[in-house]
Amino acid sequence: MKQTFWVLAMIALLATARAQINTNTLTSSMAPAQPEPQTEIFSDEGEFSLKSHLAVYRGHVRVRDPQMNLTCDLLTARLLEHGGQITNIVAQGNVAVDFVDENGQTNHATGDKLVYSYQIESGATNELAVLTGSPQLDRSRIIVTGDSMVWNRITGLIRVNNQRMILKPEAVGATNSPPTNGIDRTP
Amino acid sequence: MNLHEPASRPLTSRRWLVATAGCLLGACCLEVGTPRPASAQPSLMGTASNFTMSEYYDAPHETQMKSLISGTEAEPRADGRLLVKGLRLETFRENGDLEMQIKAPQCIYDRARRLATSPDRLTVRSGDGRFVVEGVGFLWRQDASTLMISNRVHTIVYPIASTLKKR
Repeated sequence: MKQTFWVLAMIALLATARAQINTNTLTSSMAPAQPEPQTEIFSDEGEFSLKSHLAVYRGHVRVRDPQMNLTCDLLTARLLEHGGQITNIVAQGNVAVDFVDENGQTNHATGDKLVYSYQIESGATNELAVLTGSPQLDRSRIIVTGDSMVWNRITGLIRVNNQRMILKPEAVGATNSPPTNGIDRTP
Repeated sequence: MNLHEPASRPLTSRRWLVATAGCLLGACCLEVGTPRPASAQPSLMGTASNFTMSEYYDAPHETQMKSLISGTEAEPRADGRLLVKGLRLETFRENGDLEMQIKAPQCIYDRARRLATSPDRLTVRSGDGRFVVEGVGFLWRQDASTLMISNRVHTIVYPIASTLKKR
């Protein structure tokens, strides 16, 4: 199985968002309040279980987040028992994710299922998003497909299992040099 | 009942009298069902203009309020259900912390099936204030502690830092 490691450094966006929170906190008494990053979820229907701490969204689900936008047919989120953190998200059906990397480049990923997990082990935070079901990543000049895409949101690495890369025709005509786009092509 | 009082309130003898009187009054006005132990049975208190119904945890947390349904008005219907206006539904954890609060202009409350339904807009807020949900039309299943919103669901998840600032 061929694996490629991409450095997209999405963590920079997370750091930027958190830095904005800290800045607002420190300067709130001196400057007008600025809009703070927040996550919004829109859907046709929703079901919330207090016992199992699950939130289920159905129909035209849209997630608007400082780091990305996501759409899908069904989204299930599990929360910590006493609130405070979403620990697991499963997005299913026509999953599409849009995000901008540290180079300001737009990325559009699609697939059948996206599983996001958040956990703290031995003091270390792990945040993984796994896209499966004919996953495809569309960047400005290339399209990448594979069996699965694993995005480590802490390190910013995206690992594509059994990856295949397609160079867009317009990109071929534009330059003779191979596209890099910040991708680490080292085996 | 004061809606802002702590969730943890043992049933003292004085409160028991008040609750009993409230139940009798409610039975006349609102057709209360077969009495059950106060710790497990929702107690119906107040008049039609000040409706409150509380439910307590089973032992060993029998002094801890589990849920509180209140309304500015409650009107019994022919089918035995209640039309509750100015609805405010709160659930509490076993340690007394507010777990969730639902507000809606009105709802139909079915005491026999322990369901609350409404076609109206509602607002849900988690106890820590981090999750706010709005929508139109809902079904609250009291036994299962599940809330279904049937239209135009909009959830806002606030970051931890933002929540701390608001407190």
